[in-house]
Amino acid sequence: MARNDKNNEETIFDAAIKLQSGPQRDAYLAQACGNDSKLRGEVEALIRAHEAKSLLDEPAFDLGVTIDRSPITEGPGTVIGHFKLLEKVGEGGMASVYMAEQKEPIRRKVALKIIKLGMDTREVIARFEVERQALAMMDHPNIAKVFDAGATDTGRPYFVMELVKGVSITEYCDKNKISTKERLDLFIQVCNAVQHAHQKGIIHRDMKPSNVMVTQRDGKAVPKVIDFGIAKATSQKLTEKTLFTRYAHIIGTPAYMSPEQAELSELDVDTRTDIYSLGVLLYELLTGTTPVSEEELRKAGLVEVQRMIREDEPVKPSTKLTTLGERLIDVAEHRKATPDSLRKLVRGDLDWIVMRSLEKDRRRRYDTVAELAADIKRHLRCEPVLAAAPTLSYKARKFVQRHRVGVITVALVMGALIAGAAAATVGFVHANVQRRRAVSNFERACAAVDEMMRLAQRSVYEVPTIKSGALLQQDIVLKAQEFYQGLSKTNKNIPILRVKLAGTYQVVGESCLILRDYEQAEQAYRRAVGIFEELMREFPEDAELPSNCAYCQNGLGLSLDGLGQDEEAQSAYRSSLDMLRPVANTFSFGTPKELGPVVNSRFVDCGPCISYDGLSLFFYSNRPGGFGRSDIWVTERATTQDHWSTPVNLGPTINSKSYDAAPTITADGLMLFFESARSGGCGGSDLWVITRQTTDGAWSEPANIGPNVNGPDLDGAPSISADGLSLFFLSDRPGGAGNWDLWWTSRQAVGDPWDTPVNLGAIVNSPYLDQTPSISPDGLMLFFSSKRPGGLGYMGDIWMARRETVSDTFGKPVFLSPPLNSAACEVCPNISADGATIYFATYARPSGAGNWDLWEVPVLKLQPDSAEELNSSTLGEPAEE
Amino acid sequence: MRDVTQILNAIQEGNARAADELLPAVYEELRLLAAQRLSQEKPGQTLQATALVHEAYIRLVGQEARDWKSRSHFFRAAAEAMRRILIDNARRKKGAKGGGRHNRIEYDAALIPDRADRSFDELLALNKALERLAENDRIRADLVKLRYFAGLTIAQTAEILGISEATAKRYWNYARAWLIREIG
Repeated sequence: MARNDKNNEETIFDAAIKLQSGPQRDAYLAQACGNDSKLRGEVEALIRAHEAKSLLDEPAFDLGVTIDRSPITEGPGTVIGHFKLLEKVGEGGMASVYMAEQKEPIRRKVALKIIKLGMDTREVIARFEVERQALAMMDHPNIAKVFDAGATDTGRPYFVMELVKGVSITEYCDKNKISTKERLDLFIQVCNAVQHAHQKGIIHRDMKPSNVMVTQRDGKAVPKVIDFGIAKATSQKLTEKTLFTRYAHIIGTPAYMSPEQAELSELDVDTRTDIYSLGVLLYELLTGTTPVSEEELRKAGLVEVQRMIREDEPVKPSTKLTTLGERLIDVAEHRKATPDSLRKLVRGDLDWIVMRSLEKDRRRRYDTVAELAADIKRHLRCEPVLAAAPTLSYKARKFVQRHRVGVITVALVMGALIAGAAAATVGFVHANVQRRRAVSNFERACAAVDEMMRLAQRSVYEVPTIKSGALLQQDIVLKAQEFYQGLSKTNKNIPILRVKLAGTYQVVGESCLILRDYEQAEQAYRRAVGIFEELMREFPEDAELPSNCAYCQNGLGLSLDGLGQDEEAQSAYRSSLDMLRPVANTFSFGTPKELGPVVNSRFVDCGPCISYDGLSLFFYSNRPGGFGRSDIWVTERATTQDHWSTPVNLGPTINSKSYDAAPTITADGLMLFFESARSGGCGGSDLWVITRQTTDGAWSEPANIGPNVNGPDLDGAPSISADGLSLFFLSDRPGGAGNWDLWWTSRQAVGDPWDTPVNLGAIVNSPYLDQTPSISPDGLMLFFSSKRPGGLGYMGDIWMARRETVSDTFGKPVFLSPPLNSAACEVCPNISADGATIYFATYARPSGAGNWDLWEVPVLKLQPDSAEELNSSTLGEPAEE
Repeated sequence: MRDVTQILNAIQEGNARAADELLPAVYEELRLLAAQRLSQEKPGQTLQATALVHEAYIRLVGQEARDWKSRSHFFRAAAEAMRRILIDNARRKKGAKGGGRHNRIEYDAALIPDRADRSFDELLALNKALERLAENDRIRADLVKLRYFAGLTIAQTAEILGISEATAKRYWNYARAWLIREIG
């Protein structure tokens, strides 16, 4: 690259990124690059890179290195002043702690804490001297005394403290399965200790579990706060130059650091700083984790850590519990509780007490530790806590701060609710009560919508497993249900409340299906169906009610299937179909059936791809017997009338140690594309291809289809056209409608390079999750799975877009009617060459081996009889907002 | 080998050749520091490379007020040393594991990515691209090293490289985009 070109490129790039993307930038690029299309391409690639995410966005962090150990200077046997080191009892990032023996002036055992980092020893000791008198005045059973400070021969500062034999408070509580109530009792003692110190003018500055040790005395657990005075002595004077120095302290325990400490302004620390750290400690005692996890902090650089501590609002402890997934069972067990009882216990008072302590603005925290302790005591005595009464305007402001985007909707909902509540109560309730109820409705609405928003923000696929996702969903939805139940009782005249209530039953039904709790699912769906039917009688004109009701009927059918009540299930399915009449006229499917125990395992079986002769079915699975996280397998049959054989793994040449998935094959059966996250690609998962000379020949080694198509992140779920010249796939690259989008690329002939991929556009892609495209053998139908509204439920359904000829663009996707789709989740559609069968994968349908399974459904009718019929399938279009 | 403080003193006194001795000294120090920290961490925990650099700074450079020049030398050497440590490590670790990225079936735990696996690949690719960048454009490559391997902010980087913050920001935008384009 010539230097001049580069200068030119950089200048244009610098200017272009300052302009808004779109016509303005395009015009500039056209003018700046002239007819140099190569230069323009290069600059555009830079702009795309500029807008992309990259590993450069956070500092390098992962140093899983193993190197030889360095020598340790002090150790058992070393004599320091009057003290002889006996054994090491603790080790932290900043210091080592030894048990030591003191011979004179008195004979006793003490703890000696030696500071490791190269600090100015004289300054540390001088600062300690300043506080020495105050420290000596502290006398409290829950405080470990600090006796002295000095310097070792190697010039490192050390502190002499009362020897506390015990373990950190969090470790103690977990090891001994201490209940939440007893934890609170211990915590109150810790508060008393800190309050005592505050009264003597000592701020701890470094409250964290490892500084609260629990010892046993007379069979009773006694917490002891250690290290008073040490954080102050070892903190540095802060200037620009010592910013780095300070950072080393921060990385020790940023999880407990208050926003004012994160500012690095030493002057600004007061007793309320300890209240914040106590709040974090309480958070951890309740939920087993800190508001911002150690892991999140470790990944962040200095500036980001500061920002997180100063700005990120922590989630309430009870909400945090619901995000723990499978870990929640463990956390609850360590508190002698069940996940449910623990959540109930923490919800409310304790949430508020913790949140009040964690306020970013310390003026909003408790004024003293004594107040914090008093509030916990109130909670234990079941009295109303002070923290639970933030003013309405304060709450509303917090809400607005957190959810700027959703605020308008929220304001509308609030308005309707308060008006409704007021209307219902006029005439028989005292005005004051009326106002109070309106206010309490407002607050409850606030809280419920708040929770829902959080859920929405945390997209469901970030949850570790589908089951924990379902649990989380249930928890939050039940809360909303309670809310709408209460409101709709007093506000019969607001139908939207009943729609919302039915909606909560729908979602509960869904999660029950996933959890295979069919009795609960049946109950939930029945309630929803009941409400919708009532509404449909009252509002026969409403266009959306029937589709909602149809969905619940279908869910009811699945639940009854799960309970083995075949006849009732069939009748529910029929009612569902009746309500979907317009679509049912266009499409018609036979009874879906799972592929049976020879093919399906209780592991993930997904991504079916039927060969054009109908005799081989490729799919991927993480069943045992593979070579990586998921592998490609194939099952075969001699004729289309035969049963499928036991699946065979494609072998270690094709399947890597990583993920290999989503096979797709050409009509001649000689080229198979798939998704793989193996090394040697372009980053993330990539599209790869294998070829063979004849259909019974051996497959070649996999080849990456190259950086023309594969980007740095997710590229997957390929679908190759019959002739091998068009490739549809899923990608999260920038330039789409949002979430995952469908893209396509083509080439002139086999062996030619692929063109730059093109987004299938806003007609096909939605802002919801769109995935697993599959092009029909004639190239005119594109099947895919989507979570867009307009289908049956929110788990994902199969949709189809059509085009007149292969050179046309695809029209608006339509929803494929049940029984192909159901209230459960359907993905990975693949239609056979004769058009008679659609293979797909599903989760949470009652039969099957479990986890993801492969299913097939006979196609009875897929073509509309007339254009009007296609247009009349209004139900298949996403609802317009 | 002279220790880092002596080398920095020499630099401060204007001994230009002393800078050459700095890298091996800092590298050794970081390596030992990493080992020491690892011996204290639970197995399986990861160390933050940038945190190590800052800790090394405290140990090696300490409280004494250093001038801009020696700080600059230190952080350049540390960023380079950290790059070498990380790359050597990634090369060693790679091969044992393949890459990983979550599969499109969004729900299942079995298909959640192994981040470390992926980062080795990415890191090696980044390093290659960074070497190419350094051939043409030393200052922008240094800037990336300081930002990425030593975890410095734009403002700190600007001071060390002796350029304005606005320039540093501009260089960073370009270098970052260039590298991403290069990695492909």
